[in-house]
Amino acid sequence: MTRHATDVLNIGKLSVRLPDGADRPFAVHDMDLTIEKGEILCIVGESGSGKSMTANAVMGLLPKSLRFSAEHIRLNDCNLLRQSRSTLRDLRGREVAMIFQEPLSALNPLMRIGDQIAEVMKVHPGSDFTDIRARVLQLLAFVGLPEPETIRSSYPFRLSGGQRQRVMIAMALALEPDLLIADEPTTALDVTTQAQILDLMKRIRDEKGMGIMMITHDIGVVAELADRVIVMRHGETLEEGAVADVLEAPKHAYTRQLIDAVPMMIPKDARPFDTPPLLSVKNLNKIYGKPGGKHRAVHAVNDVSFDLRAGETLSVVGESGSGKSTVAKLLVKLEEPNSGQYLLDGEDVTHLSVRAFRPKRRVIQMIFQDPYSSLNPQHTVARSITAGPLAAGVSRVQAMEDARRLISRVGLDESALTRFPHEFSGGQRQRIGIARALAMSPRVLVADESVSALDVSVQAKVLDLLADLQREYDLGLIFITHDLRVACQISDNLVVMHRGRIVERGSAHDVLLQPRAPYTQALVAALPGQAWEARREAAILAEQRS
Amino acid sequence: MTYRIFLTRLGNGLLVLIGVAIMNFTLVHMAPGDPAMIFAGEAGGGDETYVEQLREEMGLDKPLVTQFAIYAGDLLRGDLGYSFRNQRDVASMIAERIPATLLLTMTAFGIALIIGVVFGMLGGWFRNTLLDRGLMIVTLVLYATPLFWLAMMFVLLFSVRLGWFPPFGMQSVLVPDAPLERMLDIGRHLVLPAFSLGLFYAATYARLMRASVINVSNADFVKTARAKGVPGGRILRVHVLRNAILPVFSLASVQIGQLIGGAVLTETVFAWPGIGRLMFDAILQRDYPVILGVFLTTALLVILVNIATDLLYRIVDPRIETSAGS
Repeated sequence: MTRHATDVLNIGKLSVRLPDGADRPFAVHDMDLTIEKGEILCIVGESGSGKSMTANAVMGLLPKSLRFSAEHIRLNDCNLLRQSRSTLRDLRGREVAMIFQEPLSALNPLMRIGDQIAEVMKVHPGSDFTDIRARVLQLLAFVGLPEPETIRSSYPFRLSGGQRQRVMIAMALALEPDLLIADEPTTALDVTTQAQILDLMKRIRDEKGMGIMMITHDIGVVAELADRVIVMRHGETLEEGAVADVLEAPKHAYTRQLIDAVPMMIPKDARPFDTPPLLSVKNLNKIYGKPGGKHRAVHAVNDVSFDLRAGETLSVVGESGSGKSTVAKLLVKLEEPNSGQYLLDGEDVTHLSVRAFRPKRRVIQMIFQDPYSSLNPQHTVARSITAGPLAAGVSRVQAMEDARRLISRVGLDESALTRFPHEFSGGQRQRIGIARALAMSPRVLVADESVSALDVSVQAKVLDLLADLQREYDLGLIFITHDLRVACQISDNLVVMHRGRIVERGSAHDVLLQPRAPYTQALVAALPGQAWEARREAAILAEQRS
Repeated sequence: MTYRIFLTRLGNGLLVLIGVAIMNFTLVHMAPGDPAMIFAGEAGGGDETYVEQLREEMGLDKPLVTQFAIYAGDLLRGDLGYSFRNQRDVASMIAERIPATLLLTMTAFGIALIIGVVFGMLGGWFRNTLLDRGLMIVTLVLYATPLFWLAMMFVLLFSVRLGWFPPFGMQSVLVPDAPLERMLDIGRHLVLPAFSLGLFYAATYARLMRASVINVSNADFVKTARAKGVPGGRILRVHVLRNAILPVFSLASVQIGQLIGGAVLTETVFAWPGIGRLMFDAILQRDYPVILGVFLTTALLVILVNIATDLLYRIVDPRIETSAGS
């Protein structure tokens, strides 16, 4: 690999060996990589591709159980492999800094923000910044935090996720390092917050001339931010090149597959629904905490009304705190509304007690967000799937027969029934979750962020499965998501929620392609990688025409 | 804000205290055994009239409700009753015993916390090393050993065999006059009981602290600190310890009550003149006023200590204030 004087990072043949008994010998294998000054390199790949391991190897933050080797890891002119542990420690924070995925847990909860930023300067004596307090305020202002003086003396729990990520970035910039490693820094953030953080990263590249290594799974983020891209799978580098080349003319089949799995903003054709509504809510309200009470009351769901018909997919779109998950809870009656009306299958169930609603639970079933915690780890898959029907009075023989039919319907082998959740991948678990919901022969499915935790390729398959099942059983589907692309692909109609209210409703086509409400417009505008997307859609349309 | 929380806690504490008074009173009176009979028996027998006379003198002939009314009225005036057995005022009996108990339990508590936190910290930070294994075996043994047995072994080893510390009591028979020497004398007497009481609790804290240190070491913010280039020692001190000690602190604030209860055994074995020992004797003698007084006093101590730790917790963990709705 050739070296340029402007290289910030140059890695030659990096390998990280996995412990014996893992599914493959190397987490990262023979990886070459360079990052220049003022350049953003995106390493893109799905979970288990080894992209985070690469970052941790550079930082010297790999777990002790993992052995790694390389020809060289050169940071500026310094080969990290030849340095003592204390020199490496000093380089961290001074010449290379890192930010992480989870801003909520990445800051020490017992330490004031200002102290945490100042710590970088304290543990690196001899830095240029003698007035630490002024430097902290300057950093907080640079990353766009309001009232730096207040933030400086706050504890992390006072700040939102986006604010905390800005604090992390401020901390990383404290000593003006040459290299910033960002490991999925926007994955846990809302799309509008993500857009702001991505802008901030571009500013860092342009104004400070730093090299940035950005680890991501999101092709949209790559298109938005990257100068160059490396595509990884199972620890191997599959493809490397300038962002336009890789995204628009991918050489490797896997890269193409990754790109194709990103849902396009092309809504499905509008269909008329003229059956009476299967589910209908009118002026639903849910307030947490008493107004005027000790705690601030939160109007989580504010005057929400919508109908759902058999065979229809209605997406409820919104960012965190919009009240979309509370809507889901109200629909399956895990929460009681303060006011409003809820009709299910023609019957008013608003005021039914838990006991009286129980027979109705067969009609409406839920698929949860986190496939890792929504199945009881102590129960076999069969037990999880049959628990509902058995409680509803179905015979054991019948319930087992249904379970066998459903588990193969969702694309798993029948032998899965006798196994335990931990033996399955996230996507497989989500299939089990779908089978469990279907076991009750519901007419309405509520899917709360059900594909958000999955890799794009897995996500595409689960979405296909949901669409197939919907057609097959004529299901009404309420699809709750923060992801506009996914919503666009799956929905007939959608409602956009913001601070508990529905701010816009209509067909997927109208809401997403011609948004009228300012909030929806902001959401759509915040989607990363739109320029790339427009080119991609144009190419596909041209292909269809010819 | 803290002021209001303090008042609420105080009010709650008062309610608990009233509850304790009612419950103790009923429980003790439901227990079999007539104090007048025992008193008469030990005084060398006596006939029916003597027993009746005693009962009348002690107020035992009145209905239970009246007895309680008298008791409650006296309590309000700070009068804990009169021990016929000892011919003394209960309040003054307890008052003279409290300093000894507080000295013993607080020393033991300090020992438990310091040893527990240090052992746990070392075990957790150097986990799965020989040091960790050794420390954890020691704590397991201490935890599994009955308190009174450990106390007796301490006496046998350090007192009878090695002669390092006095085996029982709080002061030597010939109390030295000089204040400093007197303090040293009490200190020497304190070592064995405080350690035998403290080590048992130290074992619990050590195991909890170890788990907590391991848990916090894996937290994201510790990784952030490493990425910032913070040296290992400072990571342990600044980032891990403060967070890891919170669960230990929570447990300790609940257990400090148990510690005062656990002192009964220790005080008995070491003849330590505290309220635990007083209670033990009072129970054997069915000295109701003393038993009730001791119960009430320990309840009061536990409540006060809990309020104090509660407030302290607020200072240690800044997140608490939101849950209280500031």
